[in-house]
Amino acid sequence: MEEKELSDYITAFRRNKPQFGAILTGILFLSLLFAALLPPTYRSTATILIEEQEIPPDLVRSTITTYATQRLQMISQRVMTRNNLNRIMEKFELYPDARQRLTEEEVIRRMREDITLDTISTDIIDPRTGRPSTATIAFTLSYDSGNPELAQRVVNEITSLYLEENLKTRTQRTAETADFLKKETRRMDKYVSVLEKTLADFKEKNLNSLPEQKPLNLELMDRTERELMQIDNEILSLEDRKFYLDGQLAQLKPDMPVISSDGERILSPEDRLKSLKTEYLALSSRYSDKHPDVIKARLEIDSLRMNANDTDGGLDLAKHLTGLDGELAALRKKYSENHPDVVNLKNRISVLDEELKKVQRTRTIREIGTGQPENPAYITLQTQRDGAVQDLRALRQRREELKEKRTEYENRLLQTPRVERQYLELVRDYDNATARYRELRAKAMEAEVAEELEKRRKGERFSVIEPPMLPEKPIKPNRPAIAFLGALLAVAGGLGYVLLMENMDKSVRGPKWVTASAGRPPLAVIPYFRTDEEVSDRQKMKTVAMLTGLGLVLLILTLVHWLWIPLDVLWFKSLRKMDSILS
Amino acid sequence: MESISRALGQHHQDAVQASPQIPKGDLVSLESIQYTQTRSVTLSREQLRRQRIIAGYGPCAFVDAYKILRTRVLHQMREQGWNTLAITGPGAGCGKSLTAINLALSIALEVHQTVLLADVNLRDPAIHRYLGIEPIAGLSDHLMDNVPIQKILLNPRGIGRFVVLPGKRPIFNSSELIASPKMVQLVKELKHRYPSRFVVFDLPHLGTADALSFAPYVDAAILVVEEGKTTQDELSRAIASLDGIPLVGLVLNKAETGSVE
Repeated sequence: MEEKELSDYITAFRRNKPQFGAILTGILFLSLLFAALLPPTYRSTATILIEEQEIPPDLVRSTITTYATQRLQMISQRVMTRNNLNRIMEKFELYPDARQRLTEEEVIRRMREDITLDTISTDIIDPRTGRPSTATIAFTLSYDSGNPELAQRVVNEITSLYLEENLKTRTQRTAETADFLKKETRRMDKYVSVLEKTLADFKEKNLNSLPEQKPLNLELMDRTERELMQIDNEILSLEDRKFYLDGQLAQLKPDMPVISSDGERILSPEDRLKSLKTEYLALSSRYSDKHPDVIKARLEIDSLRMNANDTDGGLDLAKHLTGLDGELAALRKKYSENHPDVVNLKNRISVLDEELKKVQRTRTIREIGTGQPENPAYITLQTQRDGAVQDLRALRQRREELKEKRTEYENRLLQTPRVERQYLELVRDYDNATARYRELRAKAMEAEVAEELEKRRKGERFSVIEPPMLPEKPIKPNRPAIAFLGALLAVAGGLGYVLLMENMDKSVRGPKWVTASAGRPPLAVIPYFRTDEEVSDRQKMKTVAMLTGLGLVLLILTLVHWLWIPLDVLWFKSLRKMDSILS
Repeated sequence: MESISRALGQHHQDAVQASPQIPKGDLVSLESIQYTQTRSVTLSREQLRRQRIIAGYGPCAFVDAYKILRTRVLHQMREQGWNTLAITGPGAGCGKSLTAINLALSIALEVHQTVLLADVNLRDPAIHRYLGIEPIAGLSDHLMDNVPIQKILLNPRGIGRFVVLPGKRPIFNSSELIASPKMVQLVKELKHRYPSRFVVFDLPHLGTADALSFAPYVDAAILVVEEGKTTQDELSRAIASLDGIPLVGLVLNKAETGSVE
């Protein structure tokens, strides 16, 4: 089997010319019809600039840091919700047919397809990373519709939705950030207060053991130590002095010795009283009270007592009473109660008791007036000694005090390391918390400023630089292109048909094929011969076909004229259309 | 049979005189030729032209193509000493009858050779229709009803050395008839009576048993292939079925104008 050559195809083409022509005109006609009848689609577009914030970001930084593209996508998602789209559709009565025929889902999808969002980007060098990248500086929103006015109005609506959504989102986000930071700051503030209080309490509790007190404590201790030493020295010297004074005092009599005119040493009232008392006791035991000697002694004693300072008080009497008691007890063993000795002794004891009681009563009154030394030297020494003793006592007391102080200081110093550790821990916590608090506070303030920025519309914003225009020319369909493609398709279809027929054709065509299948060339090739009749028939057919075509065209035109649109109107209409297509 | 030969012989002599005018297709000059026993018929020129029979045309590419065929066929036949030729084809309607008529005419008109054109397509005899003649009886009548062959033979008026053995009506048991001894006898007689006579048989296509059963009686065969209709498979099958019968060659009929050589 031989390969088919180009000439085969050419002859095949010649053979199939009518079919080729029919297919060509058919497809061409259909595509032209298609191009002419496709409904026009108008697109209205709004261009929206993404303006940077007015105040330089170095001064006020917004809390929104996502990229514009990302934000745009988010806004898109929020705008293109079913609710929004449904509302727009109802407002402008879009897709009336589709809404009756299709499900809501499909209509919404169609609307989403008709809305186009294109971003306009530019190459920049990212200031943050220093690498080249692209930044979105603007975007366009467009809507396709068969009705130009509708397209414009819908785009207007969608654009305003975008602007609104952007503002809302930004304000909301910055407000959220600011609010969050404020709350955080408040929380941190509380924490810092708690720490502050803890620290203050601690300081108060360990006021003297604080590390900063350490040098002071050391110094204080040192000073106390020195003071103690000094006081010890003073005490020693004072004690020496006291001993010396004691010695001096021992050599002096408090009372001055009184020599009577006869040179006899006059007894002091006390000495006289002592001897009298002894005498009286002896007398009273021997005689009754009425005895003149006893009375005399008694009177003398009384007078003496008035003068002399009875220093010993009832001491002698008590001694004597004790002795008598012992005597009474011995007698009672020997004799009965009624023995005169016993009775006598009892009487004496009772007298002594009376006496003792009297003495005790009067003594306190008399004591003040007694014991006053009279010797001036003695008095001087006595005074000096008394002063020394007093000083000594004061010094001793001071010494005790100082010792106590020193112990306290020592304690303080001992406690300092432990306190220091706790203290440092507390301080560190406090410092950290404060730093964190300060940081948060600064951030919160910054966020507040950013919020204010958004509130006053000074942040990054969308501004419509080109409002949607009323589209004058449809963007679709590209009629010349469709017509051109249709023409190409027509030619291709025709040629394809020819090729297909030729390849499907298994019949013998031309002597070459006879040779190929029979193994020898044909003896003769008889051409197809058209008889005169056939020739004239064809001629007739052609004429008839032409006339029929003409009649058909006329018929169509007439129908169009009467049933659809007057031809002159159609003519001008099509002229306009051609103009719009070509221009 | 003698009458035939005489008639043909006479024809032969007339043809010498007439031959210079024949290429122009001028039938008027040949009208003087008369057949004694063979019935003469008048052919209508319009009919011939309508049926694409070359006798109705002057020199043109179509006529030339048959001349080429004739030359080549005669050359081979003479070389082999053959004088009976069957025209058949792989399928119906590929122009076997027309080829047979035109080839026979071409031989008769230009060469000094008498030609007998026999329509052995008993199922659908067509030659008389092409020539526009109404035969009294056909080949089938001879075979079935013993109608003498002389009564059947026709000589178109104006064309010397050309005798037609037409069919008449279609018959159905054609394959039995065509292989009958009578037919064999007839072929033999036609073939051997005059060695200078050339006999062209128009056969049914090779899809029938008729063609296959008749083919062995002829010296050689020609296959008519119709361009654009006969498939290569059909052609190969036809050649294969002719196995044993010398094939003079093929004729590509109804060729597109571009492929005429």
